[in-house]
Amino acid sequence: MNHEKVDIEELLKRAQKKDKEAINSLLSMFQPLLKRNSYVNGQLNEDFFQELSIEFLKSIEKFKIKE
Amino acid sequence: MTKYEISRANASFLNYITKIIRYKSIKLKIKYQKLYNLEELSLNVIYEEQEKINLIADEASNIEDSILCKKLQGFNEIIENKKLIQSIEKLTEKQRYIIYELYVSQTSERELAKKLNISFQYINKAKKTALKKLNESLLNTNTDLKN
Repeated sequence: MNHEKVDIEELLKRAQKKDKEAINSLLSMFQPLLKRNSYVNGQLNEDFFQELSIEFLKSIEKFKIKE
Repeated sequence: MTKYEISRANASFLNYITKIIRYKSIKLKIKYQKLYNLEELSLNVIYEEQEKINLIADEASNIEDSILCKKLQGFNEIIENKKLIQSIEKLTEKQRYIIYELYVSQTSERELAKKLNISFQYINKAKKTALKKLNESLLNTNTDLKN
């Protein structure tokens, strides 16, 4: 994660057209968020991480970009 | 230094995604707790009409050490940014502990205050100074690399 301009909007548009590269970069960008939410009793739960990643992919498709 | 410039669409997406992930995680935790309660917590199993007892190895010889190690490992597991890990190492032990509890274990400030027997305001103060320290050291490493 560098402090550079990151255009999420463009990535999203590409991801919604099922561009694998864009989906991968979005996943790696939001990995800290997913990991932070998959901690149970102070330990990383792999199952949670998996489930949350699936939810993340689903919600990318659902998101509507307002112009 | 170029900062994050978040456009309106980006901000709304960030809002949306953090909420969805948080709610999903809460749902999962409730489900997990239900399953955990159903499971029988017992070490002796009846196998082919004989009772067998499973044993659990006791690995931790020094509990304090193992807890301290776990805390740092926890940071290494979640954070991929090496600069951030380096700057976390610069924090004092207490600050590191508070940051870990607040952001990774997600205990609330009030709960943590009760647990450590210190005032809620102190925790807030410590959190702020720790975050400030992190911010400064991150900015410094970035400018160092550029020069």
